[in-house]
Amino acid sequence: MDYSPLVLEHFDHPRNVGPLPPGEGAILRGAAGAADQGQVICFEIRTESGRIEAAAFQALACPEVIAACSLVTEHLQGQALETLGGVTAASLAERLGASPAKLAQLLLVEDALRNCWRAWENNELCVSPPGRSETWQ
Amino acid sequence: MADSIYLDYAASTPVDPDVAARISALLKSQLGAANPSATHRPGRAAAAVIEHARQQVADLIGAQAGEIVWTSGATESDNLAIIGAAHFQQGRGRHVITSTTEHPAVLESCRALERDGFKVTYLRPDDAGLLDPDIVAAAVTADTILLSVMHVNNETGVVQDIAALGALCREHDLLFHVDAAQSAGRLPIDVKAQAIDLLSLSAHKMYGPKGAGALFLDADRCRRVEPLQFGGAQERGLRPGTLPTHQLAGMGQACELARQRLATDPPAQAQLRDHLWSQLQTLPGVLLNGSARQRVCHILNVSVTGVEGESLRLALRELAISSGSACASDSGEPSAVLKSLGRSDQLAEASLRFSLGRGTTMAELDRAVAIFRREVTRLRALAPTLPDEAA
Repeated sequence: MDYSPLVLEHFDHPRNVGPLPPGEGAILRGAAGAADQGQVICFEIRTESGRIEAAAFQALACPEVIAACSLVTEHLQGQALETLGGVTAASLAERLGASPAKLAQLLLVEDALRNCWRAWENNELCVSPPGRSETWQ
Repeated sequence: MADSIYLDYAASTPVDPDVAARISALLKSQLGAANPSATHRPGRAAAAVIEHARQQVADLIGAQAGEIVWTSGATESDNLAIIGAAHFQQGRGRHVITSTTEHPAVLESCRALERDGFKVTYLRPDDAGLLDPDIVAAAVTADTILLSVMHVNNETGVVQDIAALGALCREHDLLFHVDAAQSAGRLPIDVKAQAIDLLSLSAHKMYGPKGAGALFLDADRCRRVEPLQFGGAQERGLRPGTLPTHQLAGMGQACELARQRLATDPPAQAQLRDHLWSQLQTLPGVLLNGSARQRVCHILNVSVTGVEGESLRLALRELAISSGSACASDSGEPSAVLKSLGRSDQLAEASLRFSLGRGTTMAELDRAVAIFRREVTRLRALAPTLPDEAA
């Protein structure tokens, strides 16, 4: 399998690996996938006045999905919350130079971000970011 | 190879320098130019080189030179053995037994037989990868003609009890085919003592050239098989085609070197393999695949929890290692061999086959382990906390 330079860059040096540190603003969480199906990802979005202040991700996933998560968290900083609903698997595949065969996996990213948007619409806000296990540290 | 730590000797070995020199010299000579079937002097000299190589191959496995048929490698040998023997023997019966963890060259040959109306029983080994001879015996029917079992599994390194299976085949008057691509040069093979009737060999798994292989056919029990290709009298018509003198001379020399080093190479590699395993398992969640006890000296297969398989392989791209069989690693599917051993899709996918060889050093293994620890830790740190991990 060949990987584009952008996939390799974000896979080797992923940006904004979560969880988000404690801070001001509400947190939206959106997840997709399942560990027993091989891939699971989770985004945390800190929002303030309808804008995205910070975004972070965690992923047990293939290289393209890890790279997509990293790339999208960079892109989301400072954007309007509505941006969450506009990220598609196809646009991520094109931006990353990923194979069309990876569209199914990249749908996880699209789904997880839409779940963040739904959390906003349903007013499902976390006050503080959840902790994470140090099992593998 | 200079930029990677090469730990993929089960996929292919480098050509031994003496073997490479021999091949190169032949390629540059008139003898190398001649067709070994030709009756002129260079042709006869080429034929003599090939017959010497045939004897060298036979000596490695306790056979007679006349029982060796040249092929292009173990895949062709497996095809010729299984399809050729089944078709030749079909007057006696049309049932074949094999295991679910065989190489694709065996499994696909069996499926080809099924398309021709044969019945094939695929036996599942136990979770350690071992095939119980009693289970094989229970699968034998009056229609059974052939059992095909690999000596050493190419993915897990598990060693089957070939002598016991050979004895069973003699008891039931079945032909016994063994794929020995991974065991030749690593384990002693004596086709007569182990009651093997057909045995597949590959040169490039034992420091010989790619594109050369051999099939042993026991002179008393399986002198003929149906050929798979036609158009020449070479190899008694069993495998027509001009013989590649330089390749076969290289395979012969590789077999002789393997025989000379049989007492020294395997214990040295087993020591390195045990060191590697002791270091890998210092990280939690690294699971050994296959029997810890009945294991060849050069293969170690592990599954890693808490990581995704493709990401694991990309993260470890400094290491030249395989996920399962190199022959199947392009398929994108979790290893069928590991799934047969009871591994989940995730653990079968997140598996690595480390395979060692003559060039492997302790320093290389220590560097490989350091990279493995760093990258597995990094990938696990990316993963969301799962409820069962947090518990």
